[in-house]
Amino acid sequence: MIKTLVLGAGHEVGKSCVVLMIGGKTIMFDCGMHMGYHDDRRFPDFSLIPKRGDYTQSIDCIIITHFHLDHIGALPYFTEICGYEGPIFMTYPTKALAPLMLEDYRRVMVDRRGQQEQFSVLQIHDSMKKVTAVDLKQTISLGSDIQFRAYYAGHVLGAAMFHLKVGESTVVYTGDYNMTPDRHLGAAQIDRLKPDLIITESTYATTIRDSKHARERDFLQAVHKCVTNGGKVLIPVFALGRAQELCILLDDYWERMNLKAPIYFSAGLTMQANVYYKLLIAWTNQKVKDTCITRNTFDFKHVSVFDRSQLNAPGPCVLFATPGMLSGGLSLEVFRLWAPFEQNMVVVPGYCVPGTVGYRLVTGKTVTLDADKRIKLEVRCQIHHLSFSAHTDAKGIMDLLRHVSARHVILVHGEKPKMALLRTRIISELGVPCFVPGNGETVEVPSRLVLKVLASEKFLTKSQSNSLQTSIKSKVDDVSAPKRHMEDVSLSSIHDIRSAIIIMDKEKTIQVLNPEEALNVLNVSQHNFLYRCRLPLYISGMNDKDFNAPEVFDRGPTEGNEISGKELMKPSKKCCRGIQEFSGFQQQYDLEDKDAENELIWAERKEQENELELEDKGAENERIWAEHKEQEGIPHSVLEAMVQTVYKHLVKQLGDIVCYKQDNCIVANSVCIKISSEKTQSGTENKAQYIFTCTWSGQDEELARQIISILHMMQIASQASA
Amino acid sequence: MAMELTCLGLGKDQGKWAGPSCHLLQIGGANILLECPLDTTMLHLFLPASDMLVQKRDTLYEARCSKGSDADKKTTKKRPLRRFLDEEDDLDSWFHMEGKCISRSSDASGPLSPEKASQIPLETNLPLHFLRIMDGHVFLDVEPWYKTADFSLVDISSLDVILISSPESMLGLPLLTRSGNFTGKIYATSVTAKLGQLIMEELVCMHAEYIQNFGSSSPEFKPSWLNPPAFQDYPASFKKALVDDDGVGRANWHLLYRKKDIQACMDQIRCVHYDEEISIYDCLCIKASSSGFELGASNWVISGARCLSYFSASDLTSGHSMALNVASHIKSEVFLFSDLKSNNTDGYDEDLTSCSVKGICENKDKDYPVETKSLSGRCCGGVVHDLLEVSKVVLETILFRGSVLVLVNGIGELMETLEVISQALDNSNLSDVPLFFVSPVAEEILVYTNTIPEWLSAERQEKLYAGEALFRHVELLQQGRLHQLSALCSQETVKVWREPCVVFALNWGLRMGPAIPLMLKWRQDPRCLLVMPETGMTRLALAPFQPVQMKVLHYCRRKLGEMEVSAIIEKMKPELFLVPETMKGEFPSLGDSDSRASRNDIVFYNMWDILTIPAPRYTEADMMAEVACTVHPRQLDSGHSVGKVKVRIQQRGGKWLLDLPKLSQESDDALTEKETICWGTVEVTKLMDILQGNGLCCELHSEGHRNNSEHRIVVTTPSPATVELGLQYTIIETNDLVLRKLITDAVRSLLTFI
Repeated sequence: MIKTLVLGAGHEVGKSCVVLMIGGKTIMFDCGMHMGYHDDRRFPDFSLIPKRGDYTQSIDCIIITHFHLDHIGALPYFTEICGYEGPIFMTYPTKALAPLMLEDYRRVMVDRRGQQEQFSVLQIHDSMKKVTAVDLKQTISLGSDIQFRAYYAGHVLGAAMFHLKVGESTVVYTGDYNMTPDRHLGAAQIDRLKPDLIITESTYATTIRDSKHARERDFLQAVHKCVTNGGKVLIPVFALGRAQELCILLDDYWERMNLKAPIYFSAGLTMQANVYYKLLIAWTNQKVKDTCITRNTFDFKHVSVFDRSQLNAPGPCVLFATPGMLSGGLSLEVFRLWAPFEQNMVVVPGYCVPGTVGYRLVTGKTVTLDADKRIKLEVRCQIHHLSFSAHTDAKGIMDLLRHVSARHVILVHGEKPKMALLRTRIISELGVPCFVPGNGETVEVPSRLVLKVLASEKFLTKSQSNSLQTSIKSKVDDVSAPKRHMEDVSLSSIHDIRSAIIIMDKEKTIQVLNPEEALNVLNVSQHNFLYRCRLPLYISGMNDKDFNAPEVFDRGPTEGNEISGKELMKPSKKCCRGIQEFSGFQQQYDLEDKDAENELIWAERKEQENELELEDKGAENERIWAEHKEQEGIPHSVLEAMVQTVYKHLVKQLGDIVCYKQDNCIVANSVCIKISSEKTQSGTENKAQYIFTCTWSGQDEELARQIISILHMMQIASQASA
Repeated sequence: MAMELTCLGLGKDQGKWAGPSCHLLQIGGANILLECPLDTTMLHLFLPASDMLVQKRDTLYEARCSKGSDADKKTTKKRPLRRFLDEEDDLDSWFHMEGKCISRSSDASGPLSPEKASQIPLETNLPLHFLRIMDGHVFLDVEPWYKTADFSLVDISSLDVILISSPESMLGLPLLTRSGNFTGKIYATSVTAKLGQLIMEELVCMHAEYIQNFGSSSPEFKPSWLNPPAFQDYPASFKKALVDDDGVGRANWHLLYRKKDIQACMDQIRCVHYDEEISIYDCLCIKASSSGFELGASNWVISGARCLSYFSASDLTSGHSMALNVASHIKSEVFLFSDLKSNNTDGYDEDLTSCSVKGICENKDKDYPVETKSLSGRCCGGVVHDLLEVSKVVLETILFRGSVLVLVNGIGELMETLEVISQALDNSNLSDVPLFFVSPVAEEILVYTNTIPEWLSAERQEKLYAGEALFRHVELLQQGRLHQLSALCSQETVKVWREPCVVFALNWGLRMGPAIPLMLKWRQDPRCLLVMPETGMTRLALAPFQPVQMKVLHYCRRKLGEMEVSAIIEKMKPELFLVPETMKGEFPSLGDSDSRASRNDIVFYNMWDILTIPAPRYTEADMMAEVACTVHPRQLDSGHSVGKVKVRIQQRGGKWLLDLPKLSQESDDALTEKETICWGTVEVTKLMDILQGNGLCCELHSEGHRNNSEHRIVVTTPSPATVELGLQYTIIETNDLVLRKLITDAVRSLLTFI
C-alpha cells in the first residue's frame, strides 16, 4: 500500500508538503510555506507525521522539487528548528538558488515588516549544507529500497518532477511544472512510467490558456504605452524565475524598439541571481543554450540595479521589485508610492495567493486598499494582470496524466472547486481513481506486488531468441520513426508465453524452471504416459508416384505455424526417445548407440532448422530431405521402401509439423509410428500386410488421430489404385 | 546469454604501439563497442606541417650524409626485412584487394605543391621518396592519415550500441558514422559529446591548415605509403606501428573526416547524465558514472544477465571533474579495466628507438630524466606527477625570461593547469605575464566549461553555490591576462603578443597546430620550456625539431594504476576482473596479500583475445503477485512445493518480469498447456484394485518380462485393452475411448502430475 499524507497544498496553493509512506519508508516531498498566512498556518503541521522517534528517524529523506518558497520555505525551519538531520535532495539549480530565495524572504519579513524571524541567515546556510544536489535523470539509490530520479519540469530553473520507487511501488510527484516552453526554459519531459500513483499540481485545474505569444505582445504593448506616457511600471516579482523571463522579454523588446527608459532590478539580489543563471545555462531551453557561446542571454543590456534614491525620481521607468504578489517589502513600498497616479502601471505576473495585496488587486474591483492598518490607499494606476504563470493549464495536466498513465491520481496545489471539476474529468476521461485530499488527510492506494524469484537460464533463454528478433525489428522501427520525445521509447513487446514449473523449497526460495529442469531439481525422472494403437494395414503400390507428387511442399507454412512447430521440437525429441526406449526398440538395437545417433541427428536437424528460417522453407525442406535420403542410401528392402513411402506421404499431409524418419520409425512430435511387415498367408508379392504401431502421449492426441486417419486413407487409396 | 569480450585496443599508455583502448562486448545478443578512438600517437610518424621544416630537411640531409656509417646500418637492416616479406606476404592478393595495380614508382600520395616538391632532396638511400629520416627516425612526409582502433574484422553494421567515455575516445566516431553502415545508437555524457565535438573541430581545422600548406591526397585510394609494395622497405617496427606485422592494420587507416561529418555524427549521439539508466532494447540497461579523468568522462555499468562495469581511464582524485564514483559499481560482478597506468616503463620508447634507421642512439638510456637531459641539454626534472611542480618549473622559466609552451591532453587538465600556473605567477607578482590559449575553438571551450557545474568536483560545485565562476579562466579573461586566440597568425595575436609568455594548446604530438611555429621559434632558446604529457614518445616527437635547446618537462596524468585497482577490487569484491596483459607483472602483490582469492578472479586480456563469461544458471526475476495467485502448489514429501503456471516473459531495462498472459494470447497458445511433467511409479496391485473396482475384468501378466517392475495388465471386458507398466512408463492400448479414459484416470491417480 502507498499511504499519502498531505501536510500542505491540499485544497490550496501554498506550503506544498506531501509525506509518502510505502513499505516502512517515509519520504517527504517539498517542505514549503504559505505566503498568505503569518501565523502557525504558514508551515505544514509536521506533528501529523507518524512518529518513529524524532523527525530524523521518522523520515527517510526529503525531496524538494524547486526553489519557490511554497515548496522550500519551511525547510530551514524543519531542519534547524525541528531538528531533522536526514538526507535532503534537490537539483543543482535549486540548491544554488534556494538560499537566495530564503534569504530574500527572511529579510523582507524581518527588515520591512518587523516580524520575528523564523530562521536566521546562518540557519539557512546550515540547512543548505545538508542538501545533496542531483542531476536530471540521475538515478539515486538510498539504501537498498529507495530509488528516485528527477525529470525536467520547466516551471522555473531547476524545477523537477520526481519518480520514486520504494520496493516495487512507484510514485511520480510532479511538483510544479509547465508543459509549454517559455523564453528561457523548456517544457516538462517525462517518460511513460506507469506508476502506481501520480501526485500532480492543479493550479490551473480548469483554465485553458490561449497562445502565450499574444499575452506577451499585450504585456509589451501595455508597458510600452505606459512608458511613452511618462508612467512608471512596477512589476512585483520574486527574485528568481518570472523575473528572468520578463527581463529577457523586455530587454529584447527594448533592443528592438530602441527604447531608452531605464529598466531597474530592485536589488543586487536579482542581479546576483543572473550570475547563477549564467552558470546553470544547461538547465535552460535549447535556444538559450545554443546562443550562450556568442552572447549569454542573461547578460542584460538595458537592465541596471535600482537605487532607493530613484524612488521619487521623475520620468518613466520599469522596476522589477521583490517580493512578488505585493506581500510586503520593497514592492509594496513602491506600490504605495506609485499606485495613486493614473499614468503608472502595476503588472501582476502570475498567480497571487489569497491574502496578499496582489490577490486583491487581481480579483477585487475595489480601488481602495487598506494596505496598512493606518493608511488607506486609493489605487488609481492601471493594473495589468499577466497570466504568465509557469504552471501548466488544464490541458497540460491532462496530457501529462495521459502520458504517464498512472494507476491512481492525487491532486494537490490548487483551489478546491476547480480541483473537484478536474477530478471528475480525470475519472471520466482517464478512468483512473482520483483523490483530492485536504491538509492533514491521508489517502491509501494499492501498489503492485512483485515476488523475487530465481529463473533458470534455460527457462529464460528459450524466449531470448524471440526477443532478439523483436529487438532487430524495433531497431528498424527506431531508425525510421521520427523522434517522439514524449512517447514511450522502450518497447515492451519482448515477451513470450511459456508454461513454467515453480518450485519453492524449504528456504522459501522460489525457482522458475523448465519441466526438464524441474525433474532434475526434484530428483525424479519423467514417467512416460503413452497410448498405443496397432493398425494392421494393407498398402500396395510400392511405386512412389502415388504419393510423391511434385506439389508435395506446396502447402506454404504460415508464420504462426512455424513457431508452433519449433516450439514442439524439444518435447518431441524427449518423447520420441522415451517411446523408442519403451516400445521394444532396445531389443533390436544397442541403446547407447541409439542415443548417440539420436543426438547426432538432433544436432544436424537443428542446424538445418536454422537454415530453414532464412531461406524459402519449402524448397529447402525438400533439399534437406533429399540429402537425408541419400545419406541413408536407396531403400533395399521392401519394408524400407514402405517406410519411405509412408514417410513422404505423411510429410506432405502434415505439412507444418516437423516429422522425421528413423529406421523403421516415423516420428512427429511425440507420435511414433513403427512399421513392421507381416506376410499374410494369402499375400502376394505386391500386396503385403504391415503393422503400424502408433505410440503417443496425451498431449498429441489430436495429431495421433490425424496420423491414424491419414494411414487409413493411404490404405484406401492404395486399394483403390490396385 | 553468455557475454563475450573482444579487445580491439589495449590502451595507449602502454608504451607499445597498442593503440588506444577499445573493446567489443557481446552481451545478450547485443553488440556494444566501448569507445571509438583515433590513435593520435600515430601522428608522430608524420612530419609536422611547416615550411620552415622543409629548409631544415635539407640541412638535416646534409648532416646525415656526413655520417657515412648511417647508410650502411640501414642497408644491413633492410635485407632481412625483404626476405621476410618475400616469404610471408602475398603481394598479389594486396593488388586484388586494392582493385588496381600500383606500381612502386607511381606516387599516389597526391599533388604536392611544386615548390615543395622541388625542395625535397633526393634521398638516394631511401627508395621511397615519401620517407624522411630526421634525427635518426623515419617519418612519412605526406598528408597525415588517421588510425582507428582495430576494426578490421568488426562488422560495423552489426553494432547496436557505442559507448563513449571521454572526448578523446570519440575522435574516430565520424569515420564510423560517415560510412553509413552504422545504424546503432551512440551514448555519451552531454559534456563528453560537446567537448569531443570541439576537439574534433579543432583537429579538422588543424588538418585543414596542413592541407593548405602541403596539398592533400586523393580520398579514393589508399596512398602509396599504405600500399604493400612500400611496406617491404619500412623498418620493422615502423611497419608494425603502421600496419602490424602482417599488414592487416592497413584497413584501420583513414583520411580525416570533414566538419559536416562531425555534425552528422553529433546528431546520432544520445546524451546522457551520470547515473541515468538507459534501457537498450529492454534486454540491457546501461549507466554512465563519473570516472574523474576528464570533464564529463564516464565509466559504464552494463547490466543484462550479468552486470559488467567498464572502467575507462579513471582518476580517484580529480581537481576538475567529478571524482571517480566507485559506489555505482556496487552491483557489478565483472570489472573490466582499461587504460591503466603501468608502473613499468621498460617498454617505453623501445619500439621507437628501434624505429630509428641509425639503430640505437648514442646514448641509449631508457631512464627518462637522463634522456631528456640528453635531448634538451638542460634537465628540469623529467617526469613530474604534480601540477604544482609543473608550475614551479614554469615560474623559474618565466623568471629567467623564457617562454613556456604547455601542451595538454584533456580540457579538464587544461583548465586546471591554467589555474595552477596563473596562481603561481600571482604568488610571485608576475601577474603581468600574458597567458595565451591557442585553439580554433578556444572561446567555445572557455565559455562552455563555465556552464557545467553538475559535472565538476565537489570543490568547484561549491563555487556554484557561492555564485562564483567555476574556473579561474573567467576572471583571467576579464582581467585581460588570458587571451583566447583562434590561431597564432592573426591580427589579434600581433596586438596582444608579448614575451615571455605562457602558451596553452591541446597536444597533437608536436605535429599540428600552434605548437609547431612556437617550437620552431623557441627550440633553440635554452631559456624556454616545453611542458607536454608523458607518452613515452618524446624522442620521436622532438626528432623533427632537433637540435632542441629548449627544456622539456613531462607531465604525467594521474590515472588508475595497480595500487588503485587493487584497492577498488578489495573494496568491491567483484567475481571477476579483467586487466590488460601489459599489467601482468604488476598484480602478483595483490595475490600475495590475499592468497584466498589468488587469481581465480583475475583475467589478463590481450589484443584480439575473446573472453567468454558464461551466464549465471539462475537469474533473478520479478514475478507479479497476480501470477503467484494462479499457482496451485502441491506440497511434496521432500519439502518442496511445486506448481505449474503459464507466464508471459518480459524484459524491461535488463530485468526479467513474469506476468500473466494477456487474454488474447492465452487462447492462441493452448498447446503449451498440455506440456506436463509427471513422475512416480504405478503400483500394479493398486491399479488392479482400482480397475476391478470400476467393474473391469482384467488379468495380470508378468511372466514374459525380465524383472518384477514390468507388468502387463490385460483387460477383456467391456472391451479389450492392455496396460503395460514399467518403472517409468505406462502404455495403454485400447480402441475403446471410454475405457481408455477410465484407465487413464486410474493410472493418473497413482502418479504425481504437475
